[in-house]
Amino acid sequence: MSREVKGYTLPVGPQHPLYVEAENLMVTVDGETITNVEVNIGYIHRGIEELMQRRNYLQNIFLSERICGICSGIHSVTYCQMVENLLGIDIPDRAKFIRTIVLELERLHSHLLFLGIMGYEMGLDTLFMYAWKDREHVMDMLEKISGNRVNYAMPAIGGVRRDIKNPESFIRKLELLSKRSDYYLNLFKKDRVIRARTRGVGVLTHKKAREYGIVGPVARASGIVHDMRKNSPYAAYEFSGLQGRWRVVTEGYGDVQARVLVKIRELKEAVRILKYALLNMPKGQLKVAAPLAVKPAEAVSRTEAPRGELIYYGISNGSDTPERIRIRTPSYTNIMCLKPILEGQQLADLPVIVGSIDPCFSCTDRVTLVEERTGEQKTVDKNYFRRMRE
Amino acid sequence: MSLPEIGKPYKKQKGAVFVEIAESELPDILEKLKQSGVTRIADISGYDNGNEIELMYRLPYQDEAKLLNLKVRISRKNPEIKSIVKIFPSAYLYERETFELLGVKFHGHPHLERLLLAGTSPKNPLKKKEVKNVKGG
Repeated sequence: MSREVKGYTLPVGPQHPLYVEAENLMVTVDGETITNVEVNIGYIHRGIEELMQRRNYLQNIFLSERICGICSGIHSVTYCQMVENLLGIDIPDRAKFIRTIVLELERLHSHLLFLGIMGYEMGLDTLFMYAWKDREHVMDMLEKISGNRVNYAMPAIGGVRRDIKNPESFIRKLELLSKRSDYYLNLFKKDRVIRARTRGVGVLTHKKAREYGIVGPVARASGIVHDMRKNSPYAAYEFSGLQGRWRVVTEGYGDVQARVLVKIRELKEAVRILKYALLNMPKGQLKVAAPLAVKPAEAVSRTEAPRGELIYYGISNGSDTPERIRIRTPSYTNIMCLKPILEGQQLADLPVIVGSIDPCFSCTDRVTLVEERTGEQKTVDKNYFRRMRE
Repeated sequence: MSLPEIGKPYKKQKGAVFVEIAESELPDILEKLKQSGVTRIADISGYDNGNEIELMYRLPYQDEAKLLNLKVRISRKNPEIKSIVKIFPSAYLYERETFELLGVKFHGHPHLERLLLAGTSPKNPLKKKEVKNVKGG
């Protein structure tokens, strides 16, 4: 991080209209051009890794689900897979399919949420409303399956907690979503305003994406064929019948438009996976028995979250509490690419570019310990604010 | 670089292999892995087992199909190791995080400073506290 950059340094965040969550970018500008970016993270850390070492394996399912409000399902599924790997148990096929259905629905809603936010960042509030209206269909389906809109609490160690009844009833809404994604695809390819805002903006080259180890849709938009669901299949993706139904989506240019197009095209792929999974769910039990205590072992679990590769690593010590759990989230890796893609761009494009990597700051800051602050902290009382007003 | 050249795996699971290597071998092995087609490092994590600190370097290989976990044990009293940012630039954040949580010094890291914790947070929170013999309850 060189400090010799000429120009004016502008703090973007931690509290900024651009973000819903708190994060800080120190942007150096020369006129309207961004010359340097410093990414400062850590404003939302909650000490999840440390908290997990104080809770038992069952409690941790629910804690892991609360790491992120958007991709909550994938966190708990990856955690459960990791514990199953520690125990060395295999889960029933029906449970694998139910997990996959919930994960793909989650991908649908996460991508539609992203699409809405992209519209909002570009000043196209109608697009924001459209995308979130369609997202509501997905939320309805998730609510019908799990009873919840955000934290589905579906996976359990050894299987799933609930069955999916009347799977055929979801097909109509999925077909509607497939049609809508055609509309969005057309919009992002042809609309003049959107093209002007997204084409050639915030380019992440293939080389840079490789160098920074970028994962998920951001990497796929730069031409890296890389998807855990294909490369290292888990849950129902292990079944060849399902694997044959979809393919990994990639784009070549690595600009904002490519990143959005990847996600829109992934909507269609997710619908294909869901249709097959809903109509071909194998019969059988939902869950196998799993012991509460886990013998000393270590294991990893890798999955494809809506934002990319998610890794859980755990060490057990024979008790009912894990010894150490490590969580590597995709947004944490992808935050690295903000520097190369922002430098040289116009300041006015910053919201669109930052939005396009779909950063999830809660995921980025998941680790470390939160304890009571020491006495050194300054307290701000209401007189302070009164003085400020005067 | 094929797996036997690195070392004998001490554990295998579906989609992952665990190998333990010596601290001094690490840069060479990573350099060779990079030449043989490993494109990125997925994660570096640390664990304090009470006697030493176990660092785990995770690299996807075989076209991302498998995750190679390289375990390196380093001293707990004076934890230090060579930085690998020059070989894999994506290790930048992981090394900074491990430095912050466990106090491991990565020599040659360009910017080894606080990353996630607040200035008032306790130092190295994932390092185990020294437990003294406490009698009674």
